[in-house]
Amino acid sequence: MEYRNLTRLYEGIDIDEAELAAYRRRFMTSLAEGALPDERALSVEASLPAEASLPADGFLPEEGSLPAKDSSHVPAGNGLRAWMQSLVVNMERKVIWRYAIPLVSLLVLVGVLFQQMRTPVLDSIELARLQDFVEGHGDHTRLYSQVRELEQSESPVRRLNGLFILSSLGQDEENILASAQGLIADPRAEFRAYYLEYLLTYADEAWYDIEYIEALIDRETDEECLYLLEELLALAESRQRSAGQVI
Amino acid sequence: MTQATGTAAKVAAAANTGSAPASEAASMPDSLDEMSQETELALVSAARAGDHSAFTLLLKQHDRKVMRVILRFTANRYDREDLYQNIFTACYKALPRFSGNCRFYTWLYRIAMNQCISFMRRHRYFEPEQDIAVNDISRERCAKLKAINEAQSRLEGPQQISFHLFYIEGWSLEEIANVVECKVGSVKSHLHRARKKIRADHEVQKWNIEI
Repeated sequence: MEYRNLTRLYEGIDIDEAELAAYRRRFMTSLAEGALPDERALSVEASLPAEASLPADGFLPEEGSLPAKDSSHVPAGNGLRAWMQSLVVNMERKVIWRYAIPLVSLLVLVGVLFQQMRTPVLDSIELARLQDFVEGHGDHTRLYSQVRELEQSESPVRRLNGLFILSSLGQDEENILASAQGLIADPRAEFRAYYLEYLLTYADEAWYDIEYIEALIDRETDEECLYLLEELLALAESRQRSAGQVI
Repeated sequence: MTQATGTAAKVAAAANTGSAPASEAASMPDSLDEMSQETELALVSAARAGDHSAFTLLLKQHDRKVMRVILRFTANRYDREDLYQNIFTACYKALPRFSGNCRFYTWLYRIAMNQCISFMRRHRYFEPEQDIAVNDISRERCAKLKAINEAQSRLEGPQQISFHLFYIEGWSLEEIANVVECKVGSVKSHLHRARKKIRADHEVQKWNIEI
């Protein structure tokens, strides 16, 4: 297979013994000086059954997953960590989990509430609510003038709302442009998918910039949006090819 | 602790067919090439009990192979040293979780890959090949490596990880999908786009690197 060439390129690459020995020495020194977790904690862990903490996929968490059993080495000033450790000192494993689960749930809840407080208005608006709003305001002429005000607003959230409503109002150049602008503004994945589906629907009526779509693919993280972007790219390429343009 | 050191010494002696104590055995390079699984398990057991010399023997047995993995991810001296320390620290911490169902190196390799992938995620870009200190590789090969690494550095996150794991580490699409947390189809898409970009790279074309 072709890619074997690339694997071969890396074969036999090594560092010299002196450098490796220096790395070993440094690690051994850390080990000897107790920079690694203390042996008492390690012995306690060793006494637990291996299955108790082995991740199902065999991949290990980035950080040690067990809290330290001895809080005496906790540096002063690290209050939260010290408190967390004092919570688990001398407790049975099951008891730890009894406390840990409600505690983690509480932290997640606080995190979510905090996020909600910081989230811009658009993120708390349901896509369906915006669609209902457009359907409920049949008088497009009046709506258009309001939407343009929103679209030109200084506030990013108002501007995004304006772009969304403008894209929902039709399929003219202006509406398509609003969809493209909305997509580039990078709202939530749910909205990006909406804009992409819109642009796919009207792909025959517009010329999309292939390089721009490729750039969007590069930064896209959502599965569905990635799929839609690939579709859009394929359509744009095919349209340009059929028009005899150089891609 | 004394007892544990004694275990490592016995194990080392068995592995070396000599009577060197563990501390001396630790300074002997390449003396444990043919370590049996039983010997290895005994060393793991001693290391778990807190015997540093037993862990040293395991480290000396496998760290060169681990370093070859690290070198495929980064050639930067400081990064590779950090990765080395992180991998063996993670290994030491996780030792109690080693169940012995597979060879020690298989388990260690997964820890190493996990750390290297995390490193790649954190750094986003590869460090350019500035100070690679590799032995006996030709100038042309060095230039090709530099070209590939620099072309990879211009890829975006999931494309970069997918490209590296598929073309350099030889992972399957399913394994990559598991790490990148997406579907196999998306991995194919990432690979397709990454391949296209790498092939279009001027230096890759200049050195006629086939992908």
